[in-house]
Amino acid sequence: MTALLQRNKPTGQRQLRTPAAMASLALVALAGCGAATATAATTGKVPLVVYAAEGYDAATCQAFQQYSGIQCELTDDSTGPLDQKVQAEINHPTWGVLWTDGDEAFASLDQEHYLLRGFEPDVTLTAAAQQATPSDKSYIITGFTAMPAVVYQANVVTDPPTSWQDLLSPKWDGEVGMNNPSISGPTYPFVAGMMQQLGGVSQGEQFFSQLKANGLHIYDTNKPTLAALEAGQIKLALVQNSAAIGAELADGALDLKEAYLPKVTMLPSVIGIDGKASAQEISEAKAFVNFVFSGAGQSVRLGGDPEGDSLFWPSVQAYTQLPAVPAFSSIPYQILPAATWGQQESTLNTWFTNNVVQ
Amino acid sequence: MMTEQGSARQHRAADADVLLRGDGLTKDYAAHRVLDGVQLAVPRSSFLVLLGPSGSGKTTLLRCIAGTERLSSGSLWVDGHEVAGPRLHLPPERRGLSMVFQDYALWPHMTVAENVGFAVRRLGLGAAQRRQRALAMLERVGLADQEAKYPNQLSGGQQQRVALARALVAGTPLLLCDEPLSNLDAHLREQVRVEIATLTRDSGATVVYITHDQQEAFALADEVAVIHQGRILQSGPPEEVYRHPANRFVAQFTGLAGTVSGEVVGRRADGIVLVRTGRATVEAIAVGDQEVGTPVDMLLRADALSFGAPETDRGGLEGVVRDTSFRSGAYDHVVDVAGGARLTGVRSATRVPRGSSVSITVEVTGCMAFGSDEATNPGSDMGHADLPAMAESSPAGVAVATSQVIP
Amino acid sequence: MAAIALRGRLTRVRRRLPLRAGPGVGVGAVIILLLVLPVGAFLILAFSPQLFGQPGGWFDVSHSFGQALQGGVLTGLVDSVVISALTAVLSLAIGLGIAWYTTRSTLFGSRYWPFLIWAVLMAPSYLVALGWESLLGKDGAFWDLGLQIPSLTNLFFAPPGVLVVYVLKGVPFAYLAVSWGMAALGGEFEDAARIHGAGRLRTWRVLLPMIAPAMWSGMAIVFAETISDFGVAHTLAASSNFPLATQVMYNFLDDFPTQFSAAAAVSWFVIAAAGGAMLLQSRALRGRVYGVLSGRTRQPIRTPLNTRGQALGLTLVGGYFLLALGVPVLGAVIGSLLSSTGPGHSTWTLSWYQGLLQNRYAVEDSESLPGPLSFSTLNAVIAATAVAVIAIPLAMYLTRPRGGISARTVDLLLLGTVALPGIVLGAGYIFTYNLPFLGDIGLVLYGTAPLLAMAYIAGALPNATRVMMGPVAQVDQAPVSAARVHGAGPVGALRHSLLPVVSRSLVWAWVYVFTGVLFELPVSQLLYPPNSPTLSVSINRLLGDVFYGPATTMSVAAVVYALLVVALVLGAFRLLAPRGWRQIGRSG
Repeated sequence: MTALLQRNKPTGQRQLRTPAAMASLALVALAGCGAATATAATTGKVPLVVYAAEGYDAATCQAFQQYSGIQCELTDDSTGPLDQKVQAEINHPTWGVLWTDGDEAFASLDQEHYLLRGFEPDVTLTAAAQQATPSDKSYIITGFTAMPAVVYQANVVTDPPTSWQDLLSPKWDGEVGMNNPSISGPTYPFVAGMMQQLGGVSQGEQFFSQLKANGLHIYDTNKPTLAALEAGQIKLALVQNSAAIGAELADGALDLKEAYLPKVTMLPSVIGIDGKASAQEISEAKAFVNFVFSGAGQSVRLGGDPEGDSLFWPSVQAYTQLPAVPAFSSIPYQILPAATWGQQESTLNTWFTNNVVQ
Repeated sequence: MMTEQGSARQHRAADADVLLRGDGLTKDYAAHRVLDGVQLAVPRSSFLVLLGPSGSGKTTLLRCIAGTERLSSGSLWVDGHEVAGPRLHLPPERRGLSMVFQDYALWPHMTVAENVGFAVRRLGLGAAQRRQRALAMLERVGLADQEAKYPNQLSGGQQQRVALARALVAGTPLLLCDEPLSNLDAHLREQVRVEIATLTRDSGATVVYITHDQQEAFALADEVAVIHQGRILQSGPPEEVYRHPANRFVAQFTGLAGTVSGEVVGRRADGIVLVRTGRATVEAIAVGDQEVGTPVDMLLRADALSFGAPETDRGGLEGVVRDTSFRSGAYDHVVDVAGGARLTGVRSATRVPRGSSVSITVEVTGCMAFGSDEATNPGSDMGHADLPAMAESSPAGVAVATSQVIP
Repeated sequence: MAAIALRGRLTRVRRRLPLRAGPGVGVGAVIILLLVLPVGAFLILAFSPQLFGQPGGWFDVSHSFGQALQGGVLTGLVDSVVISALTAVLSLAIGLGIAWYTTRSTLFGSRYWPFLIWAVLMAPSYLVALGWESLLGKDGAFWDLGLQIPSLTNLFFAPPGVLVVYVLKGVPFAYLAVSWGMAALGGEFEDAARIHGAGRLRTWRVLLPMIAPAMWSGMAIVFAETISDFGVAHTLAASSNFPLATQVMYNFLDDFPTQFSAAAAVSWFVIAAAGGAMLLQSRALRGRVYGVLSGRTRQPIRTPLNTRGQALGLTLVGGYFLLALGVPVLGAVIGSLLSSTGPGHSTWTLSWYQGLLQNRYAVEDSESLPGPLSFSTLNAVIAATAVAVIAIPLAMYLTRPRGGISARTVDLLLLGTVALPGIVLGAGYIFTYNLPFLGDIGLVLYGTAPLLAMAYIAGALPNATRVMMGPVAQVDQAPVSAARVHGAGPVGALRHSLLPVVSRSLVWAWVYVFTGVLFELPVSQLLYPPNSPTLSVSINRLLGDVFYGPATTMSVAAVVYALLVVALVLGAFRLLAPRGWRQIGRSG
């Protein structure tokens, strides 16, 4: 009994007994652990945090780190989760550089004044890139892929379509497949692009409804659509051109060819810098962007994901794409105004799901 | 008669009187034989108690009768219908029996009335009639006013009475009881025991009751069967088993004060031997054939012992009182006798102080002499026919021939 | 670390045993940090988007509830509630059946089927979906092998198929909830019913209400798990005209700018549904608590099955596992072994495995298998151990006889966490631990490995606690008190009297959390520290880039690895734990 009684502690310790108090103490302890794992800033260089969704981003970051001595901390993920992280961190951004496909997110960030404005690398951009660059220079175009290319097997299809209206003809009844814009991020610009060039949302909806009536098949993303093409379920696959070219490089027996109908929408890969980062980090970010646009950076990008994202059209006049990618000049393209179509994405995707996917 | 020799089939003529018949009942668990060729013939409306220690097989036997366990071999008939046999195993719900469990086994989510009413379903009555019968039965056990309560709101004794009501309500011919008093407080045991004894006899049901408590067994039974290691060692009316245990185990299990060793110094024609122990010569009932000069152990019943030197000149057992306790208005003593034996339960109206030297008189009817070389385990062969025919007339309703022993 | 040291010193004699101030406060702190704050932060957005910088005002429901209602949250909620409720009922029915066969009959292999239950439980759902898709999908193995059955495919990618997949996934939760009770249900209750005239079915109609608490708990957890599902809702249900609440949430989360406040509003609806389930559960039980296992009830004897019974049982139980495990495993394995060049032109190949071994799918070092594998393994071990330690006092707290409001609140919090998709937890962690003022006072947790571990623990705790509630509730208090009286301290008493009884369940809970964290995706995506991706993130990248081959291959390799670790842990328990520990709770 006495042993138990001895365990009574003086009342002073009662303050520590509430869960909230314990919680605070635990937080401090954990943060101590966390701080130990975070890198310490030395010699004035802070780590550059890069959020990127490109297939070659890791190679680029490594090369940049070697080149500049600046520690590059990469969070590599697909565009969706990265955009969510960015939005969740909006009060206190961790990232210094954001590098993903599609410019709608950047346009939206710029509207809220989150991006660094007025910076551009010291290179000459292509006409298309200049057209896509915003006037306040809040983000930089690093390359393009076409959305979509009309992909077919050369030994199966000898007379590919030459216009979008061709796809509505009985000849292609049930033979056309495309991705689901709700699931495949790059596909939305295709949908929006059709609406843009046909004159408006209702015209675009009409086009897709007619396509649906003509037996359009919907698959989740690039790869299932391409797989359906190989399996012979469809004859024409409307996919991202880099995916098609990549598939062919992976398996030469496929004999795939791409046709670019007037007009295809150019999907830009975009870099933006956090305008609220520290001065040190901003200057490092600028160095990163410059590296990306340098010759060294360009070759790393071309070599980093040769069957995937590396199959892009450069945004700089001086550089050329990989051999498998056709000449940019041969492509009838359009650039979508980011702000306009970005806002309508969820509405249009819902319409698409309800009317075309079913 | 309860048990019979060998495995011969019973005379069919006696069937009408026998409610429960078991022939060669055997149960094996892996390599372990739990029941070893048990024979049963329980007359209608009689009360059989299976008395045995833990692990004796009594629970298994009961469960085999109930049908919740399968026999390895043997056959079982209830009320003339075969319920278990070489090619047959009737499930419990088709055997027409009831059971009272050690842990009451009342369903906790049902009221008392619902618990009892459940057992009436088998009669195919309507809901109102079922409830009526249930309430009537509860009335008989004195719990009609608790009918809407849940089991956990009742005391242990009340719960067991509800269980008893459930077992009796459908009027099944055979009622099984699995140590129903073991979990009750001491002061409730007698109460519930009386209810069991009276209600079952009023209903005319045949009862098979198992327990390890010999006092309980003798108080309830028309017939006691001592079971050990899967075999029935002896069966018969309580007085018979008590006064004439067929072997050492039965004697020891049915309540001894103690065991005293000695040597046979004389034999009488009526089966009594004279045994010398220490300075006393004691008369004892000889169990088995004991020649003069053989060493024997005398197993003594407590009620055969009293303080004071015997009237004859043979002398009483000399000893020293070790402990005294006041019990039920008189005194129980523990006495260490010469030769190292300890006798418990020596009763006297007055207290004999601890440490007193005493002399104890032994009444021959409670003194049984067994050969010293006989093992306690009655596995050894004792022979069949040499036992004195001390059969007494049994209580009405139970046919008794002779007590016999299965080695 | 400091917190743990303090916990040990906070002792005081309390009248209620055996939980005292020290552990209770510690667990409370853990719940607040790990669950209440992050989930609360996310939910608050529905009322105050501006609090975390999201579009909208300081008190504004137009961006949240307004948007949610426009986005069809009510339809989605109705769909989700209907399908989750159906799933709960069906999963319980099947779970009861399997539990009866494995605990109360002599079904062949009844000691080993529960292992498969855990396998189904631990199979990461996106891998399971992948397996189904790669088998039945339009570019799947069946099509490749020329075995397509269009009607089956159409049925599968539609509400019936969704229901089937959900039920298959839900059965283990129901099984775990009821199997303990069913095994422990005293034999004499069954005997009493049968002896007094009840046939097999009528007997169980009488007996099942005795494990009603377990049944309702099982249904509640299946309901919550189903309603929170993201993967199936997204892949299968999205292709059919059958929007689910999580799909509605997904649309908001997929938008840019991500509409967190609208997603938060949807979360409120989902939590309300989970709360409704809990309310239903407590009304059904009306406060009655049935102690099913005490020291005195007899171990039930298993019902013997004849040949026909065995055949039936094996068909039912085996059939379930064939669908739940066999099909997806087959799909994944086949997918990893096929190289497709057209219908009927597939060739079996080991090239994907070769590629894996040659590290061809890594773009750079941090994406190859060993790095993410070891990082995820470390996290999984830490999380599993932490959860095992926390779950016991939490389970004890929740199963106290006089629960009261606080226990019910905690229970709802745990169920609510299960009902919300993992992405809510991940985003909540960002909101909470990326607050500007934290950085100012030097409390940098966001972007660090410890925070990821915290999130893992938070995500795994509710289910692990529920798994422990069954065994903990059945523990007789008498041995615990006896140990205390004989001089053991509170922890020692628990160690000697509680731990042996719950040790088997604890080991399984550890294994379950281990595999869950190893393959966890949504939280990992949001919270993994830069330069150290987790296993699931690596696999997911492959899914995004290339065809099925490499992705399924890596998945198969990862699953085999996980199974080896699980076998190791279970084997170690068998070897090292005292023999008596493993005997408890087994039926005869």
